[in-house]
Amino acid sequence: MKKIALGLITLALTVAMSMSVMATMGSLTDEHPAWELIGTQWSLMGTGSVSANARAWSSDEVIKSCNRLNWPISVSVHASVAQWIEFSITGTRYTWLVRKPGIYAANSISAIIASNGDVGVAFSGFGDLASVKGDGTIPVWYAAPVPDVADPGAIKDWIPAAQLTRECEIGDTAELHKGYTWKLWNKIEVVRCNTACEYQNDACITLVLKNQKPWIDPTTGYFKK
Amino acid sequence: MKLNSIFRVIWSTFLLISITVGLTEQLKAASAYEYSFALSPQLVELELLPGEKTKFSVLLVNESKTKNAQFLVYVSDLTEERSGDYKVVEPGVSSYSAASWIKVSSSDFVIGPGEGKEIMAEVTVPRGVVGGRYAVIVFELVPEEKSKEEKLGTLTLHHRMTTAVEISIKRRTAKRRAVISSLKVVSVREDEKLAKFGKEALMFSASLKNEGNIHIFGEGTLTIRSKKRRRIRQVPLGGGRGTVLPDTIVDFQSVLTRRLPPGDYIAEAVIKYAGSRPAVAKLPFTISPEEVPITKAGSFKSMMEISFAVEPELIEMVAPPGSFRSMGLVVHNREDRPIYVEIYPRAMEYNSDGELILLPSAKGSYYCGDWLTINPSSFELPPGEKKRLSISVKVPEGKVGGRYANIVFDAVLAGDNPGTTVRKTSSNVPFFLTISGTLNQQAEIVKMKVLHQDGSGHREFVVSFKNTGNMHLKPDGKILIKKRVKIEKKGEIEYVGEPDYEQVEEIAFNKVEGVVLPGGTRDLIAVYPAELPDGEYSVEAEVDYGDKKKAVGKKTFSVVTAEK
Repeated sequence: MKKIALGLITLALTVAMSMSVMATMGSLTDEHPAWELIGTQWSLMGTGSVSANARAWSSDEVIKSCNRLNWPISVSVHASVAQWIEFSITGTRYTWLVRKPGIYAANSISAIIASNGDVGVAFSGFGDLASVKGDGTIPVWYAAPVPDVADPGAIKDWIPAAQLTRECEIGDTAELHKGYTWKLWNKIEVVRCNTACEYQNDACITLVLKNQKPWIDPTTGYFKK
Repeated sequence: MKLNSIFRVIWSTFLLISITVGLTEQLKAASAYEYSFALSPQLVELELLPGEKTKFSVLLVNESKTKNAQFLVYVSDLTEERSGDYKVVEPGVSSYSAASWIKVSSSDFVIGPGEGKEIMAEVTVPRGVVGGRYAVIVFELVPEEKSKEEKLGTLTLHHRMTTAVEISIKRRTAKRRAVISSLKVVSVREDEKLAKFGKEALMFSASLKNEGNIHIFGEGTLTIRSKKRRRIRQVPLGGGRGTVLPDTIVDFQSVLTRRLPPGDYIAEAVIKYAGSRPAVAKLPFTISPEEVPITKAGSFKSMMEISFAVEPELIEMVAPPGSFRSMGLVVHNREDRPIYVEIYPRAMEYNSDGELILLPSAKGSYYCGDWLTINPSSFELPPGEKKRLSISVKVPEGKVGGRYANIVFDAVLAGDNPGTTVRKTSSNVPFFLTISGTLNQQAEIVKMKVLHQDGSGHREFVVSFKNTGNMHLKPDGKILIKKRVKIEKKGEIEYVGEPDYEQVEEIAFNKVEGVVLPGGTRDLIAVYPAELPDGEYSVEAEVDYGDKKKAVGKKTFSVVTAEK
């Protein structure tokens, strides 16, 4: 009897502990690793550190896998084959919490686009983060390295936010069928004179039909005898 | 006992946590996207009459597992960038807007996780409109509510998916007209973005301007010729749908990944678009001998061609010796001004690439221009009108076999003098006459070449086919690539018989355009797109022509990989 009781208590404790563990793991938020530029080197601050100088979040969990459902899509009578598009995103809001001045970067904005046709991605409205009080801005830069990089030190071309107006180059059609992933790194610079208040920017990402693409010579050159 | 129990509890707990962690990770790995959508169709193409109404639907699906999604739906104007990407702009910006013609059934709704919504759109075309009109239905995801937690900076992203609507008004007054407004060539030195294609890459860019009132679909070809007009290379110019909206310029681009040898060249861009004539432009340019070449372009010349059509585009006639035959042609003026047309025969031939060459003199043993009568041979044609004319041939006695001429149609705008430097456009209608009797279909393969492309291993097989008969032929066929079988020497016994070959591949020739005239030669090309292992090979050509006739040829070649 004692053994049975001991076994039941053991089981109860184990379940309680495992639920506690699961709860802890399930509260892994949508925080993204952030880096700080110290001198000329980027230093990884990781996530979850309350003492980190800066932390970055997206409004939802980080995407870990793609689960594209197949929907029977009714085809318009005006098109022999309808062009479909699937779009998966990490979130709609991306936030920074910064404790002290510095240059910080994070890789938090990503999307997967799949289509059976050619798709263009247009960026509009991107700019520096502007103070809600109207008394300053926080400069922002973006980069979309292809292929993606592991840390911001490998990024050569940071584009000032206001210049992010070009279209994103989507990979070839075969890649687009499977699902093309693009990631948008963002970098901010907080200086001493930035007042303590909220800064924000509203921007737009639009998926549009792409009617033209360059023809690339599939062979490497010319024939010789 | 107590220590054993405690130990068992701790061990069991440890095991259970490990299993739980593993399961949780697996569950997370298998979990779906939290925010995922599907939209179809992304393009709706309609052909409607003025005053007509129609409906179509767009399906939007929320593929998220747990998230509701709120969407705003609205109709906006559509323009097109030079890159060919459509762009959403405010209603009223575009002169070809159809935004006010389209009403959507829902403008603000929430889709639950795993649910879909069909949005109906109704299009009403006003009366009195012509050409094309365009709009876009925008599906904008409303961002989540802002978190109440204190944050320093927030980027709010509005994600939009779009369905483009292209409407063609069914009316004869739709004007399709396009010109190439610029033609450029740049190398890596001049555009760093080309570096990813290699330091020798060249990019050719032709800008097509739609001067009509309806969208067109351009299909471009780029031909690079030597200074002596020999064709070096012909490739597609640009790719994709090729759509160009009215009053829009779109760049058609091609990248050649390996440079041309240093020298002088001419680039010719031809873009067909369902107009009566393609848009054409030429650009002389020079490639420098530097490792990363510099291109130097000459004066760009856009051919502002007069829009007119001739039907049929080819005349084929069979007639016995001593006979008389006649048939009609129609000339259609598609300009908005009168044109003046002159018609006359010229001798012609096709070069080894199959391109039509007009000969300066009217001589040649197969020329029949002197037997032709064209009535009328010149006339003025009002805008939009058609004119019927007749072409007749009087075949002399004692002649047999094929006879050929090219009927040239020269058009200028009325009021301009033909033969001056003003804009003149020529159209060619080949005339093929077969005089019945002893027809001699004969041909032979006069030369075979095996060309090798460094780096990729591609091999191009060129078979020169010569028409030695008395009538035109249309060749077709294939090559067989065979590898010599090595026979091992066994002891002192050495094989001295005929070499044995086993077939490696069979490849059809690239499509042959047009015909091969008597006395003419055509290069038939087949490409083997991979590296061949080292060894001895033979290539056998089989060319079919005429009535069950075949010309054959054979050549041996070696493949030796260079030492690295």
